[in-house]
Amino acid sequence: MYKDLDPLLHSQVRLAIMSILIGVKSAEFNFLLENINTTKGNLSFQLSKLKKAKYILIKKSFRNNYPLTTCEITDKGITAYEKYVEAITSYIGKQSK
Amino acid sequence: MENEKANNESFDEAQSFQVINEMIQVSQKKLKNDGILFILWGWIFFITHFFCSYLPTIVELPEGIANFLRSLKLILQLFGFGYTLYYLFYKKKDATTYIDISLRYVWISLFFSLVLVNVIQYNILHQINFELQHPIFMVIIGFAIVVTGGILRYRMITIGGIIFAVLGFICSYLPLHQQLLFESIAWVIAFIIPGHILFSHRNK
Repeated sequence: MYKDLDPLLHSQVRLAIMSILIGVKSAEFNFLLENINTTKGNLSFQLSKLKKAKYILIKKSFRNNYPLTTCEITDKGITAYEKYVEAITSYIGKQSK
Repeated sequence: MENEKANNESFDEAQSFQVINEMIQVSQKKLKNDGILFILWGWIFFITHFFCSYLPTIVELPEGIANFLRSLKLILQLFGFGYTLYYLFYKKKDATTYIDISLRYVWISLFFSLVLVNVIQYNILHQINFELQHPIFMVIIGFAIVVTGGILRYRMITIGGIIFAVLGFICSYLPLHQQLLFESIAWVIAFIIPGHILFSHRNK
């Protein structure tokens, strides 16, 4: 693995979560689940890892008496994601030379 | 731990790129506007301007139909407000984009601007002069449509907004009943046609 890549983001599911959240203001758990190829349990696990690192915010509420989980990327998450994309771009650039 | 292992297994840099591209496409799909509110308000204002306001000025309608058209105007506008509030604040949305938020700001501030224009007009003229109100409203609404077209990056809406404002300017030379006809046409050009096109492209 390229040494400058953030290990927290260098994972298929977590990177997918961050790549979706970077483009929207907020997204519901079910929306992430529909678009990321993983299980409910794994998605919850990866979300809690990102939350622990303060890369995302998780809001829990209710809609029509059903629990609703909404995720939002934080400023720290945006910075980390941008650094990751930058690092991976330069790595792939170096490889293709 | 199991999850973690499965997650990182054989995940290389090229795959990262692929994941980023795929997920950005998912977000981009959410950036498309479904055009529902354009269709709704386009039809409401076309019907209220053409059938409820313009038609009675050129055709003598029986009392019953004239009363029905007056009630229809109120009912349609109340329905429009109700549905818009539901659509913006209560309808199930799996993701909220910055485009949604920007458009909400544009149209809510437009609504309050129009109310203020009426209040200002009333303060100065001590009455609402509809011959003056229609062209001014059309130019302000045209501005909001152009901004919306810019936010959605959809040229047809921007052009519709420009046409809407130009028709508003032309209306300032016309008597009220002709203004209503021009305004009806403007709602079709700037709202109904782009709205239906956006709706037909919503899932593509």
